[in-house]
Amino acid sequence: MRITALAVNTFREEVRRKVFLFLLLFAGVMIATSWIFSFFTGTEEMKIIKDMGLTSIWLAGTIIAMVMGIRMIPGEIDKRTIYTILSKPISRTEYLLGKFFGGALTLAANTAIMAVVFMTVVAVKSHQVEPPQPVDFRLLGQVLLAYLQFCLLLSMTLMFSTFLTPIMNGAISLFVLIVGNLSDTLLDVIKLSKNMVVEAGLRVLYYLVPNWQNFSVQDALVRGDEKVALAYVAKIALYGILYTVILLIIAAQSFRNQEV
Amino acid sequence: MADAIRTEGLTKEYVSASAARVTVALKDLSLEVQEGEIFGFLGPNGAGKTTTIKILLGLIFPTAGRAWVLGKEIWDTAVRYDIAFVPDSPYFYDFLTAEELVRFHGRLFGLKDKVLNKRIDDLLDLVGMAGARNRRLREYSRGMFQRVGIAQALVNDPKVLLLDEPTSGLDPIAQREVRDVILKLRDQGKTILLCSHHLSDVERISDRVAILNRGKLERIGRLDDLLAAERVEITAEDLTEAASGQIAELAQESRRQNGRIVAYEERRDVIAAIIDVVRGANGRLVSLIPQRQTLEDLFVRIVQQEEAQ
Ligand SMILES: Nc1ncnc2c1ncn2[C@@H]1O[C@H](COP(=O)(O)OP(=O)(O)OP(=O)(O)O)[C@@H](O)[C@H]1O
Ligand SMILES: [Mg+2]
Repeated sequence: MRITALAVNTFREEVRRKVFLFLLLFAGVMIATSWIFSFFTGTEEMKIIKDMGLTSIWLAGTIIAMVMGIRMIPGEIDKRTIYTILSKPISRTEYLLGKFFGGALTLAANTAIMAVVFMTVVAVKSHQVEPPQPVDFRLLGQVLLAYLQFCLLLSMTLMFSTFLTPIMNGAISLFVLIVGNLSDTLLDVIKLSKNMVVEAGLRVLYYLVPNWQNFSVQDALVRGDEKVALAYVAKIALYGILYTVILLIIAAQSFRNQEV
Repeated sequence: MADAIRTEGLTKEYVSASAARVTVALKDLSLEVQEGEIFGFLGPNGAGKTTTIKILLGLIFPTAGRAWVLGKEIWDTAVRYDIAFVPDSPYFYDFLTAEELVRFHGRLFGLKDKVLNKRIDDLLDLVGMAGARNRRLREYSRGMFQRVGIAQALVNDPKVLLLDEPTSGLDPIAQREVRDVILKLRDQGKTILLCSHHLSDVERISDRVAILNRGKLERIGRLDDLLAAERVEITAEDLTEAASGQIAELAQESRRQNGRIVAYEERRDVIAAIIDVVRGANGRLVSLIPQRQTLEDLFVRIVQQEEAQ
């Protein structure tokens, strides 16, 4: 109940802050691209639209999640609005969860709007191209995974924000994002490594950092691969949620002892 | 009467980020605020008033010592169901309207809309903000912010109010209105801890006061007792220059006026000593008048004495 009030208020704050403008910009880019590339063959054109669309959703969501997570709590401490909230019968954990769910709600709204624009363009184009293609609704599975990835990123930046400065948080989060996107490469490097210490270090990194590549079924989908299974999407969804929960627990522990 | 607020040896040290500097904001503060009283919590800038309030609210943690509000120790989140807090500056979400802010804060107490609707109307009326209830706080003046701050603090019908300079930034009429609100709340049986630099206000409405300086409790007591301190105005004449000088040395304060000397002193033995000097010099004791001081006198004296040391 109180967490809901906090979450709704956080959502309202983000909406009034107009992060949503991001979307309009994005939708514009999306629609524009579908016309720009219309000189390719039908299949090529669809590939490009799907690729650009999914990548744009991923990029926009990633940026929004990171900016929100980094700024959410330090911003409230700086402006001291947190005083009046925490002086209510709200525990630190409730506050943190309220912030997280508010952010997750904002991301959901953002992602949903982007997904609607994206699927509309895909649907319209699928009929226009020669030869017409069926609308691939499995693309929504990728959108869902992307959304869970945003939530994971949000919880990670929130967790870091309880003990790091915003600049450190941004730097480390970016590092984690990059390393996590190179997870498979990292594994190859580990296999090649001759030095025990380096290998151990890399292994720790490999297991600590979420494997963002797992969240991407985009290439397979865009290629028109039939092998993308629901079971896989479900498994990765669970992985994302579990990771998020663990990060939130760590965040709550760390925030409990923080003075504001 | 039970204690609404009790602190025992409360100490707070702030350690700077590099751990190079330690600020002792509060030193071994022990005090009790009784249920149903207006307690003036005074001290110069940086004395530790806000620090104490933040500890009571669980925003920061004491380095040492313990504190209770209404019998519950402060780490218990449930304590805050009965506490209201008015911060010293308008720390509210400025993207909300007055009505939305009070409603949101009410929801944080788990209040339902049915209760809230009525209470929001009453509270915004009480602080004279009914006319601006649908405007965003961003557009408010300082005083309007402060008024909404008082309204939001009362949304849970609290038993204990922690007011950190509730009248700062208010015009004289609004200051008086806030004073009346505070008195009304006291009459309803609420306990009020009032930090303020408006000493005449505090003097007018407080039952007891505490004066804090550099984190140390210097005085605490009933206002009447503190102000009716044993300060005496001693006027004497027909004195030798040496005797006058001696008196000026002895007294806390003195001045010469039309060949007389007027001295102020509160320590009994010194009063006796001054009278002895007058007698010994064969002077004339004109008058000996006990003085009721103002709160401002007391405050300034305590702080200056401390500075002198
Ligand atoms: N976060 C902090 N870090 C370091 N020192 C602090 C911090 N907050 C307060 N202090 C120090 O603690 C002391 C007490 O400050 P506090 O805010 O309690 O004073 P105050 O009595 O409320 O003063 P004022 O009348 O100016 O509001 C001051 O010396 C202040 O510099
Ligand atoms: Mg203060």
